[in-house]
Amino acid sequence: MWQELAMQKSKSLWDTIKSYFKAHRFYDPQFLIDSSSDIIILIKDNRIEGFNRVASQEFGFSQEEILGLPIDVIFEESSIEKLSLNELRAIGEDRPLKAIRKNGTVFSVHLILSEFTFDETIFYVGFVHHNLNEKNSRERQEDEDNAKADYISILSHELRTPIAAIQGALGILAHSKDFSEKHLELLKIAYRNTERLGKIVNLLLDLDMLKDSKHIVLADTVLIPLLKESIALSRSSAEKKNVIIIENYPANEVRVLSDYDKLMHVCLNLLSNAIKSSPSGEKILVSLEVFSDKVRVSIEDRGDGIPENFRPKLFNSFTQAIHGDKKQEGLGLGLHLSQKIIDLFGGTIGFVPGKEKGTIFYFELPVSGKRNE
Amino acid sequence: MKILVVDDDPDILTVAKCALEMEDDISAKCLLTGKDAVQEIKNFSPDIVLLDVMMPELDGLAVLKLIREDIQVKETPVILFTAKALHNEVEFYKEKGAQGIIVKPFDPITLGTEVKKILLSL
Repeated sequence: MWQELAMQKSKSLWDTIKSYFKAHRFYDPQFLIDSSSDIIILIKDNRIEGFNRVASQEFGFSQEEILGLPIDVIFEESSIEKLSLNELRAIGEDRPLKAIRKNGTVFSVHLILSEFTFDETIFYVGFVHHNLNEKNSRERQEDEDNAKADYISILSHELRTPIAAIQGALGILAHSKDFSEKHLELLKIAYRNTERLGKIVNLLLDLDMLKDSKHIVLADTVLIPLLKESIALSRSSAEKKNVIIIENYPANEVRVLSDYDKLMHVCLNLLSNAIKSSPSGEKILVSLEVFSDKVRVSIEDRGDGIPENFRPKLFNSFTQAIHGDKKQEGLGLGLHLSQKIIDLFGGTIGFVPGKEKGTIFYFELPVSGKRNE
Repeated sequence: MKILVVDDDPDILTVAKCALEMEDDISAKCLLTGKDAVQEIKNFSPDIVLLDVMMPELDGLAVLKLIREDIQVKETPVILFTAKALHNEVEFYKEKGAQGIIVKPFDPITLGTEVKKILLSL
């Protein structure tokens, strides 16, 4: 298109200026604008009358190609309309604009127009600031998000030590025999709530864990030892509730592509939920099934089951099933986080009602292709 | 049993000492810096060292390295205190010579038994 337009060129104002400068033995104006590190464009009647060296480099047009062409060859038409550049009302203002290279790629620039009169003709000089390091709005948003995530991360880590000190001190006092029953009860309230605070901070750290999910590197993970470790870590809370965990695994080693700690987080979350839901003396069954292209880990409890009205939104954040007047402790973010983690691994997570009672939570992951037969 | 506890937070040290000494057979000595720990370990001859990872100047891993390089004390078991023990971090700490990891916030009621359990497993 621009080749055709080039044919329509008339003698440009820039040529007139150059002749004038030459005739009056001034410096070569082309040399002057070429010495700038910014893009400089001269515009007359919405056509390009001058184009410096940096502009040629950035836009990919030689001066011979570009002079005389309309400005919409190098600036997006919508940008020109938006900025009223057609009427050239953007004088002196720093305006964001979308610029187009000869090869069709679009980049962001800022344009400042200055008005000049020469030989009774008005023309405009456009100074186009193209900072190569300038970030687009998506990148800026990412930077802001990262800054927020870093802030939460630092805050969470900083909170852990004082919480550990308070929780530890209250924990010791709450087990002391030197207090009256009333004071002991108050200490226990303080301890329980510090424990809650600790869990909230841990949750913020868990969210922090997902912050770099875009850069996650999946590694071959042997699944059965991971499940065994998560059960070992959950054993003490199961024992406190007199709940027994039964394991059922295939004999062969099973491998998936995942991140060990994140997958461990999912298993611990599902186990913790199962323990919380289980009545005393009941069993939890952890099983692993292998299909041709995927594996399924199921954690079955024998609790009251998920009330029907909670089922559709169970994986939403801040959702907790309430059984009668019993509200479980926690923030209702665990399943939401688990779902996000399993999504990262290209798997699925879900639940079905148990065979007799309770709930079977499961997640499925693609096999890594290294399963030993 | 003598335990040397090293943490740059004095409150954590006080709580850890109280928690450990709830066990009748434990006596704990507390130090605020890694430098003090390196100097004191030979005099105190602890059965085990509880060492915070994040400390200014000489951090836990640097202290652990110095302990493992010192012929007089290199066999002393070390447990690292850490805010978040990710799987790869635990493996890393063990490769560096730690015998165990205890995550903060720790349970003061079970801290002593947890330390003993690690010691017995060696």
